[in-house]
Amino acid sequence: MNNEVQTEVRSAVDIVAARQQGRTLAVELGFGGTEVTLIAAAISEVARNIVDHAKKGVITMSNVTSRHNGGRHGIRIIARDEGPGIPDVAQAMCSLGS
Amino acid sequence: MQVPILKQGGYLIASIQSVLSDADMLQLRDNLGARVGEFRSRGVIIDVTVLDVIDSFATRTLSAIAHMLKLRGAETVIVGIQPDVAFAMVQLGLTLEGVGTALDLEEGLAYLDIKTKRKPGHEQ
Amino acid sequence: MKKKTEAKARYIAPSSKALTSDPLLRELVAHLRQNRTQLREEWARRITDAQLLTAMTKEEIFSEATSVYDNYVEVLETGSVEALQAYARNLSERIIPRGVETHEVVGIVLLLRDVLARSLFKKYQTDFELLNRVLDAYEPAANRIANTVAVSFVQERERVIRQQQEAIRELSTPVLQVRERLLILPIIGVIDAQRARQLTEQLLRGIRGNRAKVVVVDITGVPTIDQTVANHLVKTVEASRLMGASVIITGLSAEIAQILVTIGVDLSKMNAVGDLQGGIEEAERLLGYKVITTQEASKLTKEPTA
Repeated sequence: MNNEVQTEVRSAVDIVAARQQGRTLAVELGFGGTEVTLIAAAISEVARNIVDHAKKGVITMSNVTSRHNGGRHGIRIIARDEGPGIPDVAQAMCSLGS
Repeated sequence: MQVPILKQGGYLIASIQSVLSDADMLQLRDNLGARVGEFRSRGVIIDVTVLDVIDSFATRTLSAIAHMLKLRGAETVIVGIQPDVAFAMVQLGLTLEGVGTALDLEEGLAYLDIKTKRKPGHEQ
Repeated sequence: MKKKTEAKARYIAPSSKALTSDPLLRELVAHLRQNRTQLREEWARRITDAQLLTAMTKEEIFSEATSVYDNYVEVLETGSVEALQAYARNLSERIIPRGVETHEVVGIVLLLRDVLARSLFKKYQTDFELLNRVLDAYEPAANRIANTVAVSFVQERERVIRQQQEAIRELSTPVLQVRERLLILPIIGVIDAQRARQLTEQLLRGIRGNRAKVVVVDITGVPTIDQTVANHLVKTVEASRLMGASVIITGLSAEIAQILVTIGVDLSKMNAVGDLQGGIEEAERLLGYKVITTQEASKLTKEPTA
């Protein structure tokens, strides 16, 4: 299963959209309530960073499977902004017991 | 999306109905500031039960609201932060320090009753 | 044959995926289909001889053998392992509670591989070169199947074990409501980061469910904690406050107090009381603050919220 979602973030309005998408993906991947909220909050912050410090950016969210620990699943969130200078990469990996 | 603000005696109750945009939060701040002045309210309850995420912006704004209202003579209490949301907030280092919190509306009212009675020379 | 088993152990119909273009593979798939009955019986017999799947009845073994056989041949035909994975997971879900073990599952799949291989040997024994080509086609596919089934089984087993561990953890740490608005969370044993998080979740939900204003967290039974867990404890106190509840920590050993100081916790801010009894008394005091005079109230140094 390879779910990947990309969201463009330009203004404050997109923050909510990115958050909702992250929430949906997290639920689809089988994360529990507390983890879903944590993921949504983390995405919100990352999206906000893009809005505050760069003109625009893209957040990519996908599922990952670890080769160790019996194939535990996680979610990878990568934020890349198009502001001047260094691309911003924030990677959040939460693990799930399945 | 405007947040409805109800008057209950000397208190105001702002009940958030849905996810707020940044602009909505700032609007709430302005509205509360105006109403507190208009009604000379002693306390304000902001009910965030419905919010599924409280991020840094929301935390900063709620904090700013509380401090602004304090300058206008009103105590603020945030009620209804859900377990998951509280957990996510502390994980991200958002603590709403210096701002009153309570479990729900009932507790919020009790909190304000105590907080506002403490003030010396306070009019009932 | 039990109807229930039959309903679940279905042969999964051929998918719309492209069939293998390899004529050799197709020929051997046809051979395996033609000799289905006999080969399947031989396999079931060898399973019994090897004393595998002793937890299942003969009928059950036969029923599952039928499904596995058909799925096996289907994968050879289509090259698609997805249907097989789905079947393997489903099979694992059913047999793990019956006590079937990993070596048994690996064993029976390898036996099937052997039974089919020998059948191919017998058929093509007169033409050595052709036999080699047939085996070249068969072996990688057969090995992939064995691997898929074994891995699915192991993963499912690990998932079940984790679930059971979590259930045990949850049971071992109840959140107790002893008085109205007062919760006690006794923590016993060594806590790791995952358990700490689970405890926090339970506590925060408990605060909401019980409408608690004060929580007494007793860590008398906790020998030591690392910095991660210590940080977590602090976060739990903060999160509880966000929900309008104050936390009293009791049973704080000198060692744990030291760890908290090391990570920069201001112990005077954290409401720590000696033992559980003292903690409960303090909690009652906090809960009873409505009935004391305003003068006494102003002397209280510990308030429930900001």
